[in-house]
Amino acid sequence: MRLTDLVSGANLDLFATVSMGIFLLVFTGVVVRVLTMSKRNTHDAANLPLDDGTTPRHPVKERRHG
Amino acid sequence: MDQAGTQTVGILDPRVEPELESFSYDDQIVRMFTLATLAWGIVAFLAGVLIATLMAYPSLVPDLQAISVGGFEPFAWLPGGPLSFGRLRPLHTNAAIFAFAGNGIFAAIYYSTQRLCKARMFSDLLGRLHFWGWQLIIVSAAVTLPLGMTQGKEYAELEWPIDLLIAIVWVGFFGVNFFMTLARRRERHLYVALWFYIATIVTVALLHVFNNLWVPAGIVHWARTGEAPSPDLFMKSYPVYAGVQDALMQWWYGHNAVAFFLTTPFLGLMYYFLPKAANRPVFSYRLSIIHFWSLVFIYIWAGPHHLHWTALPEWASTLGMIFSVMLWMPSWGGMINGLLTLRGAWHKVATDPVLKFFVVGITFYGMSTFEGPLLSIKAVNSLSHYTDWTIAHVHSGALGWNGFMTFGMIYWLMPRLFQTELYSKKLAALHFWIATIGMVLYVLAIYAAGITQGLMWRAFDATGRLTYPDFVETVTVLIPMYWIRVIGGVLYLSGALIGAWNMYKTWKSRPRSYEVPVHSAPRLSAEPPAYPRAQSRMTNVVGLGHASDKFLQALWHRRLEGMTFKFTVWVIIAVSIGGIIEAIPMFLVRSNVPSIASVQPYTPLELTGRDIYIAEGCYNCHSQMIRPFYWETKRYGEYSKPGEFVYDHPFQWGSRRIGPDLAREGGRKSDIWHWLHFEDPRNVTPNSIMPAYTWLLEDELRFDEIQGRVDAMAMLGVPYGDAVLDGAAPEMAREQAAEIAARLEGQGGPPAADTQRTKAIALIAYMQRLGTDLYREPPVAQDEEVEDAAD
Repeated sequence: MRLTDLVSGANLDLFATVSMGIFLLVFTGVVVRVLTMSKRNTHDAANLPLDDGTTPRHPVKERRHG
Repeated sequence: MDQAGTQTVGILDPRVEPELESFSYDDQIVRMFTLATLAWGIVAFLAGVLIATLMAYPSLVPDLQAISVGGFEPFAWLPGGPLSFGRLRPLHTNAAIFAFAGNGIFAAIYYSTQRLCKARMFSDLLGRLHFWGWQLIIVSAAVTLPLGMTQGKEYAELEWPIDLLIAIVWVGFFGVNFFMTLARRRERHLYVALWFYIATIVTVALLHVFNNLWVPAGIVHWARTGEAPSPDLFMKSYPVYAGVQDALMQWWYGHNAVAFFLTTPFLGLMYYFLPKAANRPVFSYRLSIIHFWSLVFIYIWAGPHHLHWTALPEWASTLGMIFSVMLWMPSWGGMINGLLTLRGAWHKVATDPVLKFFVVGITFYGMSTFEGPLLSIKAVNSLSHYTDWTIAHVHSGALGWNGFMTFGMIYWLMPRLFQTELYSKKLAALHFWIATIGMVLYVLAIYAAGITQGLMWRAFDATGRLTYPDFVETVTVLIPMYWIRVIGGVLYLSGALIGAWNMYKTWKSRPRSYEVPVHSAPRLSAEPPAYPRAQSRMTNVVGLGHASDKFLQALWHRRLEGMTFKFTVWVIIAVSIGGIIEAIPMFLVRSNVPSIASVQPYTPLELTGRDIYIAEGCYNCHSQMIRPFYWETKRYGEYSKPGEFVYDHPFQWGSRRIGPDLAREGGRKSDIWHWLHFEDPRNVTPNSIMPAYTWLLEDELRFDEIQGRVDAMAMLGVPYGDAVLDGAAPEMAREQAAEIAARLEGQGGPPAADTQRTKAIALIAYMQRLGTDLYREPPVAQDEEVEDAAD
């Protein structure tokens, strides 16, 4: 039996049902993940752009132009 | 943050080496991409204004050519072909998407990735190769598209050599540089902006590769004859997909180019630059996680909503609609997260042009992502599809969301990159206001145009006849709105010019040499932190309860967030599921494309005419898809069937009707009508806004190269008979051309000797074939002929 026969024989509803099932599974997983994160973790992560995390120590000249 | 703070983002890892490493950022590459963004932005907007003007005033180019100053004609050199709407429109869209937005997201990614990873980009050389490679791609597009070298698929027009270059630059230079930077980062946690960048890079690579599988006709010609093909044939390719399948792949690509080139990287930009500009963290990091995973999972499914009511099978169309409506939620989650980041900082919006741009940009994101799902609802789509409503929707996203987020970022970056004060905040505010007014004018006028068109197409009078049977009536009524669009476009362009002037003056006042701060941060340990194994806190429950409790503590995801490779794999899985579940049944279920016995391959001359149709960009204004609505079948004829397109490499259904649908054009008009129409559409349709195609009446066909085209199609499975494949294609084409030329002469046209070698004849052959197969007798198979003879 070829793959074409197999897929043609399947009810197309199956694809939509599988799609929705996968989505709900992923979505539930993500929501669970988010609800169980600690506040400290989210706070630290959210602040990453504000703390470039680096302290300039001493500026140096790189290249001249003009 | 202090040194200890650097290490304590996330869970403390006792194995992290405390030793500090010094490093600096490569901001020169950001300067290069920023300058390119603004420069290409002006080109894209200028091209937009030009084609908008051509729609309101179609004889603009011929008029310019005719200007004479004391006998001297300064614009006589302007060629008609390269400046026609059909060729310039792809130039505009490609410049806006890949040149303006593309360079903008590269600037954002190079700037923010280094800072979020506390690491210089992996390779300065790869960065430069990426920059110059991308500019080469843009220049190649700017040269080839006006010359009519196109694959004929919207937003994927660039021909195969440029496709290869894109793959090399995107994956080999940009992707490697980005992922190697992540691998060498000094910050364990991947901030959410980086997730969006990862999704962008892997998904665009997938989309590009799978939508650009082709057979180059020039290479086939060379392999067969040993002769070098002409530049036209060398660049020509045919996609491996045909008809319905090609349409699905194209809009899987087209929609997700919007998703993963114009949305996810800009969301990454928003999550980094908005907190920086507002000086406060994103409103909800939790929401950003839901936003990310929901968006990347759902977006990939939505492509078929571009093909509602077409020959695409119903199940695929409905699936696309459902996921499009679902997409509303994560999109608005992201918008709300962005706007609420400004909580407590709204007072700054009044004075800070950067925040002004960001607020309006995010608001337009909200409006566009509300409108997108709305347009995907099939009932709404029946009105909006093929009208200017879609164009208004696209521009509210492109000008409002992409444009304003990019300009906001550029104004934020300018003083930092050039290490000086912004030349003028007032000019930046002027840019903001002038562009906002321009955008509103543009979008409102085109909304009105789109809805007007849609309603006029479906209007019937009391006797049951179409109220506007002449298509041109539904076009001329829009001209005032097209002029308002021109004004809106000019204002938006003026804003960008003001921005460019501001940047130039800021750049002029830069220091004699840039300071390059040296930063320090501890090296990241090779091993990920030893996150403790979750222990169940439950007692007296069965094993499933223990397992659930450990899962719910979610330390597994915490580990995942620190692991670039595994994270990327999960993103690939998330974005692949939708494409796979839609594509596999589409290609494998036989009932999707019921075959029609009377549908036969194009003759060699018709195939060549079809290539001219594609090269001239006719699909930019004409659809070839009659939807199953009474108002469409009444106007155009029998609705289109999937089996009619099995030899269409590529499909030419179009997405817009500035001119009438051509799916059943064959036999509706005489040959001479077409000839005169190409010469000047006003010859036969007084108020037409279609450009003249005079060069088609003079340019000669390369009959000797037709065989290469036919052979390439045969390689794709198009059943040309042995006679055609044995080198007979040019002769067959000559014979058919002579027949049409003679017919033309008989209808009062020019002498056949003057016309039979012209491109117009091939295009007429194609036009007269369109949609006629449905009414032909199916060819009789050879064995049946034998049986008939025996009887």
